[in-house]
Order: sequence, then structure tokens, then C-alpha cells
Amino acid sequence: MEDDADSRRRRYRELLHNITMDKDGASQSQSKLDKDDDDSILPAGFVDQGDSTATYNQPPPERPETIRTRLWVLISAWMIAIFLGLPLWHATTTIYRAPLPMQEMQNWSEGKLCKTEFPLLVEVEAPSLPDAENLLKTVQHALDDANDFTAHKPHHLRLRLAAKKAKSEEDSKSDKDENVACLLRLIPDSQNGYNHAVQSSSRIVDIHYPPPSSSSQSSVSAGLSKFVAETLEVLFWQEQELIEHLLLPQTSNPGSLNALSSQSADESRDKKTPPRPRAATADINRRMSRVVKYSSSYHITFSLFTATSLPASWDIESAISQYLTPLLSALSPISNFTISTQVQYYASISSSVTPTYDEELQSWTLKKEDLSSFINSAEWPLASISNDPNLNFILYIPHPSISPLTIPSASHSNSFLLPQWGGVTILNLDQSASHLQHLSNPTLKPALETFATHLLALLGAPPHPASLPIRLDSLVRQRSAEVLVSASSTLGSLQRLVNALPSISIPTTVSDSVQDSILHLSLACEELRKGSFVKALEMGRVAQEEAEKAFFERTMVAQVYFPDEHKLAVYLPLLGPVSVPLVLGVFREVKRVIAERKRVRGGA
Amino acid sequence: MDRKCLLVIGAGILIRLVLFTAFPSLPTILAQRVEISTPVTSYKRLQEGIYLFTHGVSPYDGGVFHQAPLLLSLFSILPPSTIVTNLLYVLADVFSAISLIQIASSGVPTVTPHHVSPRKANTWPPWAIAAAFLFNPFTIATCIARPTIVFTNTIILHAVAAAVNGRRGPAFVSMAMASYLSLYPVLLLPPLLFLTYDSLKANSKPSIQAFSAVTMIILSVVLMIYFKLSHLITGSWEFVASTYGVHLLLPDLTPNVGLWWYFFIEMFDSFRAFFLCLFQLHLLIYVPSVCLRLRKQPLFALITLVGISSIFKSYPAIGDTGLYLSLLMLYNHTFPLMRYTFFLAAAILYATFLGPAFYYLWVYAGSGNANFFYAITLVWSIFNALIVADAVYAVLREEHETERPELIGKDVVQI
Repeated sequence: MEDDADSRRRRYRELLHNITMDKDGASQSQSKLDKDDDDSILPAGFVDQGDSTATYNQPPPERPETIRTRLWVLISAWMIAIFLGLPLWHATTTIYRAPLPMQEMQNWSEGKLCKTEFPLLVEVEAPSLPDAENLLKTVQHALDDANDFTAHKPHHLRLRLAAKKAKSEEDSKSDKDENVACLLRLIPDSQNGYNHAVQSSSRIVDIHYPPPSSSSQSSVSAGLSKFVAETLEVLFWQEQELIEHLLLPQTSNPGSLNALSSQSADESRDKKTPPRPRAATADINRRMSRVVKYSSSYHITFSLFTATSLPASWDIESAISQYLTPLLSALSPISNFTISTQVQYYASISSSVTPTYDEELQSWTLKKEDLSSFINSAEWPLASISNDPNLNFILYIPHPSISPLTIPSASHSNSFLLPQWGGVTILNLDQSASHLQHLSNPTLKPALETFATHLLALLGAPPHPASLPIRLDSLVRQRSAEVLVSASSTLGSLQRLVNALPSISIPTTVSDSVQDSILHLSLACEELRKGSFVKALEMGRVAQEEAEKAFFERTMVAQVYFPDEHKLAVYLPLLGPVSVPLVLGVFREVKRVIAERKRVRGGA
Repeated sequence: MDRKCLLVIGAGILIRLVLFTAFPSLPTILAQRVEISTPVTSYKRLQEGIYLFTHGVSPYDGGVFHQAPLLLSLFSILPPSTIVTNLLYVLADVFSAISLIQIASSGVPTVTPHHVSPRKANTWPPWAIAAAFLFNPFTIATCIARPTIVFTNTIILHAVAAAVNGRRGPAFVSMAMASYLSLYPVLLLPPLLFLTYDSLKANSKPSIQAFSAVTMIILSVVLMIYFKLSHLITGSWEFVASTYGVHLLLPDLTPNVGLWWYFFIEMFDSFRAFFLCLFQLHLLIYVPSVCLRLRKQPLFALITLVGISSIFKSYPAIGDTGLYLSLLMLYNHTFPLMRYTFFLAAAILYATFLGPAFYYLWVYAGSGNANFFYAITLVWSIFNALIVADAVYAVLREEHETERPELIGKDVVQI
């Protein structure tokens, strides 16, 4: 036994000595040095037996306890990696996707859930007509027939005989019942035959008809009813066209309900012989392209740009309160407005714009293509100061050397509208000194009236009919259709986005916003059906805001540009080197176990 | 403790007092160095916390103060004078030195129940080890800058000193305090357990399972008392998130000598949580491995873990390295077996001088960028890691030679 151990020890020593000898001189001398250093502290029983001739190529076997320690070290490291590392990895990198009502979102975007309709209540006042009820029935029939014929037109007119108390004009004016779209007054008129007159500041439409000759009561009634029906269509055709146009792009797939309805509407339009001018789609597109994006509040900037130092001031405050505030307060159910004004002296127009002198007109004229570059955006301080969409109205006073400056346009207002941006009016002042210092309130009046027209056009109010309240009502309906369409299509886009990109996370805020948006959409839809359009607009606005908030969620889009391959690049640089010893350790242990098995089997 | 020890301690006190009094602006200058003060130890932030605390505002409001509430009560009891504060820090260093002397004179670095070093005659005397601590520039700079890590270090050393003498109670109460103050000493509990167990008298030894169970109970009771006291002092549990949460989640990315700040500035937001977990686990993964492998010399396992956490913890400072280097001096008898002593010493000096220079270039001169300082902290960390690795090599080599005396002086190749 003793012998055995002794000979084994000797063998190892020789082996290791040989290894040392094989190495280069430096390490040899190093080991020599170490040996010299440590000679003094060698264990008592240690005797270096020097070199011997026998060579072996087997390293000394490891002690079982060393192997056990190594195994435990390896196991402990792997335990931490597996039982702590993996769960933490899973918990911190799984993408959280809050559940979204996908089907509902899709249904909204396809217009399945809400059949947009606009029931309009028309009151009829016929004091001098004996069988007004009868007349109404006939007209209603005619309208309903037309409606049936055109399948699902969004508009649905309903007639009602005005209550007696609403007889006088004052009463009907102060009547706060918003549901009444317009009031028809049937007035016998022997001179002019059938015609209608729209009052510009109320919802009253006067219809003149020839007084019935006593002989043919029924023919008068028939003629009258036909005329009333036509009048109503004339009043609302523009709005109707526009809203149909708005609802069109909502349908992404041709099989859905709205697409069908609009198709049939198109067909019916073709079949009918138009008794009144029909706006081409191009015209609607043209008008819609001017309209600024809908917002609950706008900021309006009135700027006076003068090419010289004169005029030095303007009466803009009183002019606005006198000419514009009434319009703005009438618009308040739709949007709120904040106003700022500024004056800029020595403001030159863009250098690329050069007016030419027209001998015929005795004035300097701007070419039509110059108008688009008229705004000197490099030098004029027109940057928006508020978060709301900005509308600019510019009153430009040209230099005396190029005055009078005119623009080639049909109207004489010497102004032009910049789509989605604002309006410009060029004001040519008389060179007499009286005006120059100060622009007084009356001088500003025409300009501000032009601006008011521009404002209505920019907001999207239809140019017809002449009555402002009816136009504003129409604007409310148009805007609510717009927000409904926009909100539902945003929801649809979000739904498609979420489906298309499985790697993006969906935070809870998004699902909350979507829920909120859908809730408000259905509320808006309900309000529309009831005919309270202002409320519908309000609800639709919330729905739109929430839908956009959900769609533009920052944390959601941050992940979009992070494909799975990139994750490898994130993990590997750190985890690769760290895991190499762990993996190799397992490898070596497995190898050792296999070798041992083999040896045991070979020995047996 | 002999005369030499007293002399060394006296000299250590003198140096510190001279630095405090002769250069009155030095503490403020050093306290602003990112290498010395971190968001979780800074004296300036401590003062802010004390001010808020004494004025009845929650000290954790405003997100500046991230230190334990018991420190607040300690400093609010003290008279608000700079001299008293400075003396407290000097005293803490003196206690550390005394603990080191106790550890060195106990002989545990060379003789454990499982291992007797063949070089035990070659160790330095205790006074030399105290001197290596007291005159270490890292320790001195840390003491002058007055970060609260000084107290953590003192308490760790005290815990070790109690453990090598087999006094379990003081050891674990102290280590619990150190963990309470700066979280990462929690990693030192397993080796401390082995160290205490090995130092018990052989005749009255319980089984290791029973011993660790009782120790765990002591530990949790003590920790609960600390937490309850903190709760009483601040009146809310807010401090847990503001102290340990900051250690764990790294909300403050002020540069320091560690590896975390730059990495987490650059990290994609969506992976931040994952890599925070990974970095913390990386520290944890060493604990069982080191304890198992160095089971024969638990003191060295503890020292190695101090070294590893001084490199890889979230807010390291040179005070941590100072503690590691001082503790490493206890194993001076293995230094002849280390392979790169000169190279490592040179590299540490290189990083020490270039670090402040590059920080100056980046922050004050503006002619460098963050990569300058980050590069030097990388160098610093790499060489600290090499020191740890080389020291472990030396100690393992010595163990190996004890087992196989015939292999002394032979090269070892890893297969």
C-alpha cells in the first residue's frame, strides 16, 4: 500500500516536471524563482526526489471531493440562472398586450354599428291655408317616396305643423328647440307665383304661392305640395351631397351597408332629371380641401402687414367685436376661438412675387400663380403661438409705388383664401393723408366681412342656402359626420395595426381610450338618431380624441421598429460571454461522466 | 494590541485630522468627486436629508436623499458642528483599523479547521495590516469626503472581527446593520455564516443546519427591529423604495466608477427592466459558487465577495475598493503566488490618475465626452476584477499545494 502511493506520487512529479521542461525558458526561470522562494516553507515531510527516467502521460486523477465541489458550483450557478433568471427574463420582456375589442373596432370602421342618419324636423306654418294637414301629408309622402327610392339617404325630413303659439316671427326666433331645422311659412302671393325667400339671419323660409282660385282647391294644393318638396330639397341638397361624400370613404369593403346605399344613391341621382344644379364631386372635393381639420378650438390671428411705416395703428379690437364676435358666438357650439392681432411694418411680399402694371385697369396686378407664394413666410412672423390649429387673416397694405394692387378675381373684394391656412385681403389706401395714420373701424369693415366669409369657408360651412342659422346647423351635422367617420376609421386603423404587428405592446391606457372612444361613438350615434346634433358633435369629438390618443400612444410605436432579430444583438454581447463558462462546465462534466462509465465498463 | 499598533493608529488619526484642519476646503472638494461620493452615500445629500428631516418634511421628498433613516437620526442627535462630524468619521476609521487588527491577530487568514497555510510564518504583523488600511489613499480620501459608506465599511469589518472570534450575535447584528445601510452586504451573509461556524470552539459545535437556522432567526429579528425603528423615525415606509429601490432600480444615472451608469444610459427602454434583473443576478450568482469553492477558507470567500460586489454593484465608489484591498492584505502570505502583482498595481495607479483627468476633460473642459470617463472606469473595473481573480488563484494554488505538496513550484495548466 505504502509502496503504491509512493510510486504514484513519483510518477506525477516526473510528469509535471516534464511539462515544465517543455515550456520556454522564461516560465522555467519563473518556476525556479518560485521554488527558491518557497523552499523555506516546504512542509516538513516533503522531499523533492528530483528527476527520474520514467515518463507517463496520465494526469493525476482528481479527488472525489474536488469533483463534488465543482459539480455543486456548477449546479448552484445553473439553479440561479434557471430558477431566478428565466422567470425574471420572462416577466420583464414579455410584451404586454391589453385586450382590445377587435371585432367591435372593425365593425365601427366598416360602419356596421351605426347607420348615420340625420332626421330633420321641418315646421310648416300655414295660417291662410285651410287644409294644411292634408298638404303636409302629401309633401311628406312625396319626400318619403323620394327617400325610399334612394334607399338609405342619411337625411330624413319630417314635417310638422307649427304650433299656434309659434306663429309670430319673434316667437319662432326665440324658440330654443334646436331640433327644428327650418320653419316654412306659406304665404299667399298673387303677383309672383311660386317662389321662396330665405331670411339670412333666421331659420325661416318664406314660400310664396299664388292664392287658390276658389274653383280648383285640389290642384293648388298639389302644386303647392310639389313646390314645398322641391324647396326643401333645394335647401338641403348641398349638405346632403357633402355628407354622403363624407360617409363614402368610411367604407373600406364594397359589400358593406353604406357602400350599397351610396351606390344606390348614385344611381338614383343619375336617373333623376335634375330640377336644380347638382354639385359635381369635384366641387365638393374642392370645397373640402379648403377646410381646416376639425378641432374644438381654433386660434385666429389677425395681422396687419404694411409695406411702409403707415398706417401706424388699426381699430381692430372694436372692429372684431362689432363685425366678427356675433359670428363667433354663433359658431360657439361647434368650436371656440381665441384671437390675437399684430401689426408689422415694412413687410415686403416675397421677392419671387412681382406685380405687373396693367394699363387697362390702371393698377398693378398679381398673377394668379403668384398668390400661392404671396405669403412671405420667411420674414413674416406667422408662427403659431398656441397648440390649437391656427387661422391667419392678413390685411396687406402695399407700398405706394405699387398701389393700387389688385388680384385677378371675379369678386371685387381684392382678397383670396389660402386653403386650410387663412385669408388675405389687399387694402389699397387712398394716398390722401387722412387715412394713413390710423385705420378706423369703418375702413376695416369690408375687410372683416371678407374675413368672416373666409372663416366660414375654412370651417366648412356650405355656401347655401343664404340663411346663416341653417348653414351653421348644416355645419354641425357635417362636422359630426366627419368626426364619426374619422374616429371609426382611426379605430379601424388601430385594429389593423395591432393585427399586423404582433410585436408591439398595448398598454392599458390604449385599451381604456379605445373603450372610451367606442362608448362615445355609440352615444354620438344615439344623439344623431334623436336629432340633437350639437350633443352628437360633442360626443363624436370625445370619441375622435380618444381614438387618436390610443392610436398615437408613444410607448406602443416605440416597439414597432424593434424586430426580433435585433433582440439577439441586445442579448448576446453580455449573455454570450457570461454563459460560455456555464455551458462549457456542463459539457466537461458530461464528458467526464461518460469517460468514467466507459472506464468502469472496460475495467469490468 | 501592541505599541506598534497604537502608533499606527495614532499616525492614522493624525493624518486625517491634519487633512481636515489644514485644508478646510478639501472635504467639500472631495465630497463632489463622483469617484468617492455616489447618490446613495453622498454627504451632501445626507445633509439635505437631515435638513428636510429636522424641518418636519419627509427626507425622501424630492428624490435627492437615498440613505437609511437610522443615519438620519444618528446625525440629527449629533451637535451640528463640522468638527464633531469629522471626528465621527475619523473614529469610524479607527474602529475599522482595530477590527482589522483583531482579524489579523486571530490567525484565521492562515489557519482554519479545514486548511492550514504552509506559509503561515510569513504573514505580516497586525500593525502592518492596520497601516495598509489607515494609509491607503482610497481610504483616506473616502474618510475626508465623508460619504456614509465609511460606516458601512466599519460595520462590515466589525462583523468580520466578531465572526473570526466565534461571537455570532455581534457578527450578525452588525452585518444586518451593514445590509440595512447599503443593501449589498447582504451577499456577505453566507460566507459570514461559514466563518462564524468554523470559528466556534470545537467541543460545543452544533450541526451546520441548526446553526444556520438559529442565525437566520436572529438575523430576521434584528432586521425587523431596524425596519420598525426606521418606520418610527420617518413615519412611513417610503424609505424602503427610496433607499433599496434606488440600489436595485438605478434611477439616478450620475456617473461613478462602476459599470452600470453608462450601460443604462444607453439601454433601450424596453430592455431596462430585464438588464437590471440580469445585473443584480450576476452579483448573486457568485455567492454560492464562491462559498462552495472556498469552503475551506470562508474569510477569503467573504473577502472575494466584497471585491466582486465592489466592482459590480450599482453605485460603487473607491471606498469599496479600499475596503477590499485592506481586507486582501490579510492574505499577504499568498501574494508570492500571485502572477501579475506589478502589472496590476501599475494599472490601478494608471486608472486612479487618469480617471479624474478624463472626468475633468469631459465635464469641465468639455474637450472630451462621456466615453473618456467610461473607458477609464472600464479599465478600473477590469483591473479590479483581475486583482480578485489573481488573489483567488493564489489562494487556490496554496490550497492545492497543501493537498499535493509534491507540486510546489510546478506550473498549473487548466485542462
